[in-house]
Amino acid sequence: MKKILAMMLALVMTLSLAACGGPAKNPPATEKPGAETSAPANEGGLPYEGHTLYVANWQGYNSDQAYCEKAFEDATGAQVEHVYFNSYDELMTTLLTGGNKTIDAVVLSNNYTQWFHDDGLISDLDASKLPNYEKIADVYKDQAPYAVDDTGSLFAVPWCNGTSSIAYNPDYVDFEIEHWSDLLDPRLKGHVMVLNGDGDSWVIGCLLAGEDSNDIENADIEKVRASLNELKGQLLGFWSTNDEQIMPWMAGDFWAGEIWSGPYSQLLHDSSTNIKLVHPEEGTVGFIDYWAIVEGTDEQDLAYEWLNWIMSTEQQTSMATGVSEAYPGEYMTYTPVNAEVIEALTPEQKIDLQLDPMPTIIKLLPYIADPAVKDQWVDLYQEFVS
Amino acid sequence: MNSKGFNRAMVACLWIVLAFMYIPIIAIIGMSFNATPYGMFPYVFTFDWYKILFTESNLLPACVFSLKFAFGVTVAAIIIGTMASFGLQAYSPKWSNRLNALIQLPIIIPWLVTAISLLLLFSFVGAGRSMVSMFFGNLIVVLPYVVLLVNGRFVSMDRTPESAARLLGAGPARVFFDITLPAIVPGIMAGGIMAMIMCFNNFVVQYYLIPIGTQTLPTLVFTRIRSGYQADLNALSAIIVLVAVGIVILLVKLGFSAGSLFGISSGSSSKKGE
Amino acid sequence: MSSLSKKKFQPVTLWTAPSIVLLLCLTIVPLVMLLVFSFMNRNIFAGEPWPGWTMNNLTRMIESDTFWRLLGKSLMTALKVTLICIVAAYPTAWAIAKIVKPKNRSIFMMVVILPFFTSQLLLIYAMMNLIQSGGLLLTLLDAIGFHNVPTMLYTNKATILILTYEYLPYMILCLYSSLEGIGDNLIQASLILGANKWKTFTNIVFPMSVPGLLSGVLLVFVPVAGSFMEPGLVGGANGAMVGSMIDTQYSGSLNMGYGAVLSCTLLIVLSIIMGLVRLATARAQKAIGGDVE
Repeated sequence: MKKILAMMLALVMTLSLAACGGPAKNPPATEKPGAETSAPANEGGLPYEGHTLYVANWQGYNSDQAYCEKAFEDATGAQVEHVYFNSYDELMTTLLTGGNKTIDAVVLSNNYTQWFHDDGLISDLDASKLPNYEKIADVYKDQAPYAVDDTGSLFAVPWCNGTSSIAYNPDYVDFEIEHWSDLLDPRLKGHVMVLNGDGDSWVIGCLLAGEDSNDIENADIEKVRASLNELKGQLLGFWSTNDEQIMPWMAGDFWAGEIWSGPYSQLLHDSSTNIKLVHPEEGTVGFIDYWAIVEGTDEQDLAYEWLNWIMSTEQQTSMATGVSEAYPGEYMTYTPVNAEVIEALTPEQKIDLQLDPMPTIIKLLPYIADPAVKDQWVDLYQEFVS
Repeated sequence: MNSKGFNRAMVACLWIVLAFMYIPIIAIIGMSFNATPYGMFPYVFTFDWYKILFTESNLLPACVFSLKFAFGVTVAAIIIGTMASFGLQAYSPKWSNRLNALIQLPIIIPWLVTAISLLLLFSFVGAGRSMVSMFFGNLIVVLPYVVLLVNGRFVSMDRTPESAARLLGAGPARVFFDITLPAIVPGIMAGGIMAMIMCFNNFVVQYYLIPIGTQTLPTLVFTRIRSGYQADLNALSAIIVLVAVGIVILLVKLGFSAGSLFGISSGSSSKKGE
Repeated sequence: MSSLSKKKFQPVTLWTAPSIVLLLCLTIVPLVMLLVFSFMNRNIFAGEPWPGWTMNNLTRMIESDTFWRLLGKSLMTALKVTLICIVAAYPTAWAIAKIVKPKNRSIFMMVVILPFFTSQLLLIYAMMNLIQSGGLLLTLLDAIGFHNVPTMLYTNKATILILTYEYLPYMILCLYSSLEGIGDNLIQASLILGANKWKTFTNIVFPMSVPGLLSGVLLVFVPVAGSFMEPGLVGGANGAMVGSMIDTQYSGSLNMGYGAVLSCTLLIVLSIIMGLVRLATARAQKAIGGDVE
């Protein structure tokens, strides 16, 4: 062992200078991550001059785009720092081990809000400090148990939502897909993809098995297991990001399966491929993403400003249309929750956002509070994806 | 004849293996100039990805951070590892071997297990995922290699000058800094380079211990591969590979021979320190 | 061994203290914690009360078909990758060590280790680009008449390919360092003394390459068996390995206790296997007749 390592080293030695020295020699074109170039162009008098708001989100998920982050900075004088996480578990570990000191506001999907709330990581909200909350469409407002606890207090505000319905490529699929069970058709074998996520697997399994995912603690797990096993035989693979949907779709490997609205609209507008969307009548997978304020933040007022900001008609319009006049750019689109904005969408925009045809029944990703039950479902998910 | 055929087969195998190793690298360099996304065709020549890499991409800052971080860990590992190696020489061979085996324990543990056990520890003591955790996590992964390589140097070096210096009245500090240290510099260099490379590349430990909001090159590339096609990844790979290749060619031109490079290895292997 | 080592206490021995302390704190203690926390109910964080003891994690693991299936699969994958690496690396290392002109050896070895200097993940990305549908490989195959070849990306084959790609240089290095040490005159002597090629190989070359082979197996088998990132990126629907399952406990359904028991088991199984490999090679070496090192 020693000899081998010494050997490797001897070889490595000369070259390492190449590798280590190489990239460093390139001009450091960009500043290092922490040292943001804040916009000192702000004239004084803005209410939050000198304050910094740390928000945690997925990278590239809308709020770090110029029309949101930059616009907020210009409007308030505060500086917004995005902290990116790779999983909610990672975020939870960070908050539980003292990350509260740095992160002020977080994005959470509806199946995680209660978990974070139960663990005391996010604080109750005072709706009166959030004037824009009034504008939220009724279907998304005061959703219990996702954003409101047993005592009636609000702890998260909706931001955007989405369905992950079935899409298929008519170039390869020569029959109509109408139900989730159509994905089990032998002609699709090896060309179906679904999201690699516990919640999505549970909902799809329940839909296939005819169980109610909204009451998952009482669903027949064995029936769901059987359905998922059947589905698994059809799969090309799982995706977890936009690209993992787009790449195999463009390559002609992915014919039918679950799809997010972002990749759907991108593929819809790509003339080199073909795509058709179905909202099965038995229901479709849906999620709502929320913002919440971290318990114990020292920038509470600014965090409220931020929550109010992301619900504003202006922001929600940019988010839904991908267009911002003040901050032009090419942006992805997301389904809004602001009633005025939903109202104002054009028919084309509704198609892009999977809102036309309208989904009939949306099954939100479930949250399982009972640890023992959760373990069983986690095991099921694990079995499905492995 | 038979022997010639055998040799040819072996050499053919060598070239096949090299082709296997290098075709993806060559392809990615080619694709870094291709405007058609996803590494697909038709091939349209462009410099855009390089422009993006040097202007708006977050890859370069992450790369620079990774280099700095790896350097910091390396310095710590060299100091602590060299101290350990030096100290080990003073033990009886039996104890020296035992301690050595202990120090090398982390090598045989999969990084996944190391990273998870460290995450448990750091969560337990309250550090969680943080810069400190990531620093110590990487340090413990590279430390055994530094000790191993510096040890190799100690074992192969001639110890008589030290004894001579002592007999002539030099103090222990003087002996260490004037005689011992210069003699083991190649081992330290080797250990340092190993540590630097491992630390620059260690995805697993960084993935579990990195504070959220910070990205090293490996974790960023991982996120980027999953989150979307950005050909500035190709551009960065191309630059890294080309710089490395350039220096190899330079070294060969400068007359670095196999003998000078393998000096250390034959030295340490001729005297078994096991 | 060293003229400095005498029976009496020497302050120099204290120089090992920082390393020993680090090792105790960052390797031994965490491993013990891994074992202890295997019996912990879910998660523990500083400042939170101890969540309580449980045997659930253990029983859940023992009853989990998925875990044992994935563990088996990981070990099989590691075995396959290791074997492929040995088969590819042995002739390669031999060619570099014995056939290539001596002055070119270091150049070849530099070429072999060059990939270490790029980021592993960037290399994986390069390979993914190459083998995907519409990528260079399939486009070329299509051009020379093989149409509609399905891509191997998102299959277990892709996982094996990527892992082989990643770990092959280690095996070549290890074998090269052993083979290089075998004197040409030794081989010639054996041949002149009448041993045939096969005999020369089994009696001289192979036994002398065993230390390198063993290090190679260690450096390839252990990390491959514990990999989770590669199968996640390229393995597709059936790609998950035991590492993926462990990873999920820390990045998908936060349950540290369960993750701990899974990692512990993986570590124990791997240690046993590597111990057996060591024993077996020692035996084989003796049986073949070489008593080298």
